Amino acid sequence: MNPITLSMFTTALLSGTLITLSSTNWLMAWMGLEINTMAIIPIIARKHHPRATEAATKYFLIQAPAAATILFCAITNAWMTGQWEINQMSTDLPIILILISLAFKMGMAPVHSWLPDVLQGLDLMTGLVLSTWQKLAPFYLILQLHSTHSLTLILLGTMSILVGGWGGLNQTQTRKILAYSSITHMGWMLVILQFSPELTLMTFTLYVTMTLPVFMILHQNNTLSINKLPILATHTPTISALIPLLLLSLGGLPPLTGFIPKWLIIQKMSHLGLFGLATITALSGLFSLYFYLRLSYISSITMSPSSNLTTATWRLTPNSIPLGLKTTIVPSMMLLPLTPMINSLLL
Amino acid sequence: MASAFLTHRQKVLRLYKRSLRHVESWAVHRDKYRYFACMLRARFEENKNEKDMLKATQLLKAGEEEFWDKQHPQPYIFPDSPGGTSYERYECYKLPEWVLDYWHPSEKAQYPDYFAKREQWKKLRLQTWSREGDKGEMTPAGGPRTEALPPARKEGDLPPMWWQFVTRPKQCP
Amino acid sequence: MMGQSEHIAEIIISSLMSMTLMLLMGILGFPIIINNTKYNKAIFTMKAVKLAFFWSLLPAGLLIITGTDFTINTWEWFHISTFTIYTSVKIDYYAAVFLPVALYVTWSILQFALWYMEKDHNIDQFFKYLLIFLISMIILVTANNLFQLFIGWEGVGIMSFLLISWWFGRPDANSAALQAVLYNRTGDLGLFVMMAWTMTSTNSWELDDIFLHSQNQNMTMPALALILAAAGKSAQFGLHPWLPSAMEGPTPVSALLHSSTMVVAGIFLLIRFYPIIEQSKTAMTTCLWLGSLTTLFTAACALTQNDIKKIIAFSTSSQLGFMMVTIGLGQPRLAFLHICTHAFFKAMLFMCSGVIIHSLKNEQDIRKMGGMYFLTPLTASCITLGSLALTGTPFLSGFYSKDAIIETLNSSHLNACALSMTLIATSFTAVYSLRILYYVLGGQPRFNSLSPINENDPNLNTSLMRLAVGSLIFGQLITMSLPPKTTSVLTMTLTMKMTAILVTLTGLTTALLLTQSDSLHKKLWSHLPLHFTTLLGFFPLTIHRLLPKLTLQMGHLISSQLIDQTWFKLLGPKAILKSSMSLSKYINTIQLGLIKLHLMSFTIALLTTAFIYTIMT
Repeated sequence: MNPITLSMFTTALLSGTLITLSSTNWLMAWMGLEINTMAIIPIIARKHHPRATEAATKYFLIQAPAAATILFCAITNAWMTGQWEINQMSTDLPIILILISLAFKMGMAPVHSWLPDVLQGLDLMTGLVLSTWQKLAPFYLILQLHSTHSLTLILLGTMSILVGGWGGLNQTQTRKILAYSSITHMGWMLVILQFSPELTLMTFTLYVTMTLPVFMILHQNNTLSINKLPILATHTPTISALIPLLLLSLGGLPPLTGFIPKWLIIQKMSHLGLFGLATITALSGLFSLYFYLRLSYISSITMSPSSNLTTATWRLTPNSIPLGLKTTIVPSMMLLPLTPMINSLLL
Repeated sequence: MASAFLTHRQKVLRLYKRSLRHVESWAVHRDKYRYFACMLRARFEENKNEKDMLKATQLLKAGEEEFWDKQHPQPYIFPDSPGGTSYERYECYKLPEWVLDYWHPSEKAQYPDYFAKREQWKKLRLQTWSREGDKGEMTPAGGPRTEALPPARKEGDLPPMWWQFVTRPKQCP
Repeated sequence: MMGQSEHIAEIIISSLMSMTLMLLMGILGFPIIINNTKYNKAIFTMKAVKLAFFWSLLPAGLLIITGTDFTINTWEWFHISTFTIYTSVKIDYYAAVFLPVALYVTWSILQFALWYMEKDHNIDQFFKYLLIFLISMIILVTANNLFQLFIGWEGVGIMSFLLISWWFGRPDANSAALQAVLYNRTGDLGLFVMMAWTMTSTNSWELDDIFLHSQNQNMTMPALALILAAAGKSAQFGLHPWLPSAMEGPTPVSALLHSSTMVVAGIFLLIRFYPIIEQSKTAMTTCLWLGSLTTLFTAACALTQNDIKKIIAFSTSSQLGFMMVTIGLGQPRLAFLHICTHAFFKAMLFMCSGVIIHSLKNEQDIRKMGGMYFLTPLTASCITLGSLALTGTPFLSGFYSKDAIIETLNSSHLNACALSMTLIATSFTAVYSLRILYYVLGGQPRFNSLSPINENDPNLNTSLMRLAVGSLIFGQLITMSLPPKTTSVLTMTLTMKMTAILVTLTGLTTALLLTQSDSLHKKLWSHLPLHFTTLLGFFPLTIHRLLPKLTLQMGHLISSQLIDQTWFKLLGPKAILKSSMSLSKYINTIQLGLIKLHLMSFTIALLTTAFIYTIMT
């Protein structure tokens, strides 16, 4: 793609989200979402490959009805109450429908099914954008809606965690696994959202921090399926040693960064007396932990069954680790001791 | 019983000896013991020439049952037999045999004969170790399969050193 | 003026007593501390105990002369928040009499052990152990404080463990030592309960405070706890099997264990805490019943044993039960007197059995003895004297305590059943004593002809004779100098007065008649009654084999079947795997790559929520 075009679309991508984030008006917010969608579609389709095209089409087809429903609900609300303010929304039905369609936009259970499909058609960097940046605007809108519909939020969140866990168990494609991982994390954020929006924000930040290096590593080695994971060791041995920690951090294993949000969220729930919910979320975390463990098992803990006849490639062309990876890989593993600081920064 | 198979003869003899020992436990005084021992002997002698193996086995079974019924609840055990009051009492003073290797030459010089013989024995054992293993002289895991003693060594060999332990000079008898 | 001088005298006496005690501890502690190879440590230890005995005559003499009942010295030791623990020493009647007795007996035993353990490699260590054993007992006896008492109590327990497993190469010795520790630990629970109870309800571990505060309280619980503790230490019925097993230790250990330390510690505890026990009728009845049951059962077991040491051990157990009965009768002083007299002749009996065992090359079975009367005349005399004293022959030392106890028993209105059981057990004493004498001393020799029979060692001779003198005169001495505080029953009918002797004589006669008939050629074997007593009432079989086996079987079943197989496998991983796999497959059925499915899911979600919302509002 022409660099100028690419930079234009990228700018639009950024500004679309920023418009949404800075608006208090439904119309503006909707406009931002649309700009954002319009900008990402060419980026998705920039590799002229049938899968990419398919993914772009699907993405458009998904986002369009969602955006239409949002606009419809906003208009209905404006018609009933006479104002467009996001946080002044007071009619129940439009709020619920907006919640559903925002969940659809982000790809959360029960309307998650498009996300693994679309992500499967993308290259990994675009996938990274899709599973992080693209979620920001809808999430902001959900935050803005004064959530009086706790049951809907909790249902959406819990279902996402469970579906993300179960869905990922049976996958062999790394991008699909990451899609399900994204669904699970969104679920965690949504579950805690009405009790502590700050924790949601923190979870989101940490999710981005943790998922970034994973996407980048897989992108660097072009690992699209888990049976390609063992090759990592021949390309980048350092990364191969680190990837179990990264993945388990994403899964939320205690001494790693990923444990912070789970810990704080479960603690918060227990403080509020939601023991059942806390138990369900904590236990369903085990599913995702299982498939991360499986990934790390394949990538580093065992040797590849196929014998390696050639010289390890890292001896011939030493791969330099990209700067983005360098900077994110450390915080994505070792932030747990800084929990008090993160707490005081965000809460 | 450690053994796997016993002949009928062995079984009968063992029953006789055990019965004698228990009679001894019951009848404390020698005169009384003699009387009952003779009675017991007579009962065994009675069927000494029984040729019919079926009948002999039945007799043996009846004898074993009677023994079980009339055994002494606290039979006499020799003090240094297993279960006895001084059995393994001095075990705590024993040392494994290889400590002799670590004696100082000056100490060894005090027992020249013994240590000369011991050197010979050690050499012989090194030589015959594999041979002995081949012959199946090693005791199997669950104890010896037959009652018979291990085959005698060939002539000219040194007698086997059976003991695994040496005792300190001051050890009690 | 008079009062003042009395006061001064009291102060002098009390300081003398505490000084004596400190000196005593110093003398006894010295052999443990020194590490000089120049001396023969065994002899040194023996001499230290001897010296300590002469020193300990001082408090006893002061007690006799002045009649000052007790002295207490208290120093503050440490605090635990509001709870203060003191070091306080009490030298009252009990401690002042017990100290010389224990030291005298131990002196003799140590001298005997010089001969008996002569060939042992670790004889110095053995003597140290015995000495620490004795010191623990002294700490226990002189303690005026539950904490100190506890130190002595546990010290006695630990040392008994080490001494019983002295021949640690023997598996039997090890299991006997473990038995002793485990049974004692069961009893210790009682002491723990008592300590916790006093801590919470009197906020002090000082004995006087406890007695003072316990005046108007229901004392059944702590009293029963004390009885449990005493039952563990003194091998009362239910917790008795460790005592015969403890015969695995060397004979000097058995002698010390059974005379002046360890087993009398339990009875001594009850004597010390008598003011508490006496307040609870339940506790008194428990004492009476437990004691009579123990004395009858263990006397019956002693009747049929063949191991000479086990017979004597069971006789100790029977005597302990007898002391327990005495406490149940409300006569702690008599029980204490019996402890003291019993220490002399029981130590002597054990030493005699040691001589015989040594002479016959470790033979302990009385069926293989006989004729020792001619071969070891001194030992034979001592063993006869000891047995006579044990049966309560008039004017030997056993008589003074035993006869008084039986007279009290006869004239009391308490539970007749328990009391008659005790009387039967008393008659058994004569029977098993006769049995030892008959089989060991009388008849023809039944041992090997090459036995190293020799009793001409001066250590052996003097120690045996010293105890013989003690068994002869101690009872007379103590009754003369320190008359019992409670008035004993003075008038009674002739039959009642003679009961003790009559009962014993009846037992003796019956046993003699039976022995006569036994030497005729009759049937050899008998069944259940003999099996019952020979196998110790099937107690070890049930408690040491059946119960652990059942427990282990159940534990195995639970751990392997229920936990491992069911929870950790079938209901755990397997169930999760199965359900997760099916759910995972189910969730992935939507991933067909069809856009209509995605849009359909959105539409359905929208419509459903709208529908539900409409219904709900």
